[in-house]
Amino acid sequence: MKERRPVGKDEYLYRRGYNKPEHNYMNPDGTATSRVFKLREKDNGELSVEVKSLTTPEIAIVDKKRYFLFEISNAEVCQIEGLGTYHDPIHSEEYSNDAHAVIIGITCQNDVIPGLLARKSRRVVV
Amino acid sequence: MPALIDNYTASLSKVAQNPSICVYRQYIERGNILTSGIVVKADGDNPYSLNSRIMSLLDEYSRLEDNWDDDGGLAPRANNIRRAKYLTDLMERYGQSIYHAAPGPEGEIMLDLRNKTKTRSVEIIFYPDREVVVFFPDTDRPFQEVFTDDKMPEILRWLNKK
Repeated sequence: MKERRPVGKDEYLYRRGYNKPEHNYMNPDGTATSRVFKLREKDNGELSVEVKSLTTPEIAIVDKKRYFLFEISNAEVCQIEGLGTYHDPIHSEEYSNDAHAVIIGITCQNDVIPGLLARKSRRVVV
Repeated sequence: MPALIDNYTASLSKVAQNPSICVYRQYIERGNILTSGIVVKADGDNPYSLNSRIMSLLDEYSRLEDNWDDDGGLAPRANNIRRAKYLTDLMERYGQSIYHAAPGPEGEIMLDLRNKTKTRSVEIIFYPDREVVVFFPDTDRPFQEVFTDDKMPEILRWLNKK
């Protein structure tokens, strides 16, 4: 198990949501649906986010033709029982991302938390 | 009787908003819809019906393929689309609009229902292996339950209570 440093509660987190002009998967008002924060089996219990202070919206969104970007206060994430956020920088030969972090404490069977996170998030227009 | 009035007023007010395009085929149907004795059934193909946008979205989602989100998302299963359409049609009969429908990474379809002031909402999620309803109250903590069709009257009462 990697030793990880908790993300400060004064930080904000970015999360991307897949979206294309021809398939608008977001809510009619542009806010995130719960599916944006839905954990997948392959996530191994860790929901990927990026720490706002360590990146920029332009970098975090990767491709604005394919994604919407949402931000959420880490203090609000940590208020949800059982959730914690930890720095998880990625460094490999092909890819490097110091801003990468993970929210842990969500399970694939839990549909309350994705909905809560979506409702607490807001869209960042890039 | 309140359910009957609600069904009429919601559907007829929709027609009243679009008086010039009124090819609104509706008829009175008796029984078979959980609690109401008489309900107005809207034509699901009518583009001016209450949840026609949701039906169109579900049609779109039915054409998604595996990896539709470039991240390994599973295509919505035909049965999940069918279940979501069934519920959308049922909500049409109740005069209950559905706020949004969205596909999810595990092949699920999520229907999002909100009250008029959008302070309270319900998500009904059709997964390939389970169906879930999640309640988001205006103040209390959200909670989830196994979804079954016979819970719909109770769900709508909870959603729309003053």
